[in-house]
Amino acid sequence: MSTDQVFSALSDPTRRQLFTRLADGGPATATELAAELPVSRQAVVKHLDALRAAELVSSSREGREVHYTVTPAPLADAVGWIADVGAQWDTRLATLQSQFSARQPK
Amino acid sequence: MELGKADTEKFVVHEVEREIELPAPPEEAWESVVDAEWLGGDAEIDLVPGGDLRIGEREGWVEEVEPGERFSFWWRLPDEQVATRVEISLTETEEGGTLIRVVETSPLATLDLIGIPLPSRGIGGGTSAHGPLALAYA
Repeated sequence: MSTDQVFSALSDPTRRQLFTRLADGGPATATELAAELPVSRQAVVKHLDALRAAELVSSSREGREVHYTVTPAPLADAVGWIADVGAQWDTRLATLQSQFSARQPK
Repeated sequence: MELGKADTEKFVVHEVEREIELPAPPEEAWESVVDAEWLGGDAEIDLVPGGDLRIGEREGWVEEVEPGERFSFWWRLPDEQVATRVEISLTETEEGGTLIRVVETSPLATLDLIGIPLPSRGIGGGTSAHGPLALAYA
């Protein structure tokens, strides 16, 4: 799952609206969402599928109903954060190790 | 947006983990760890739970201090909206050295990226006035 996918999924105003609605109002079914927004149920399902492909939304089935929930994890540019923070720790730990070796030659 | 604890836990998303081994027992390694120079130059740490912490440009507070075992804290850069949690744990190795394990966790996705308000409660019960979010959204 790439950051591009996330932004592409959120580039559509209806999808942003759906995502915001799920984030603000909690889990809902496609039928409930279609009733609240000026979009057909069929279109809602299509948009939810796009959000799900970007892992912004997950779905769970309860009986005959499918509930959609936000999974906002990808929004924070996970890849970039992990790379940056990881590189910082590599540097810090190298410093710690060298300080330590200097203090305590093997 | 009001979220319960179970909801806010979903926002715990990013984690970086690193390990190194130091050639000395945990008691000695501990001193190097909390000396904190290695964490970012100029550092001032009030080494008690809840104590203030400044490391280079970053500011935050101490969460846990278990000498020789664990040091955890929260910090953020001045231009960052969200504080991250750092846990440094020390484990004695079979050779008598110390395994240093660092885990930095970003507790909240930046939902405000698309204009969604961030959750207003603490993470994992950290709901005190001095809790993570008090700093993160002060």
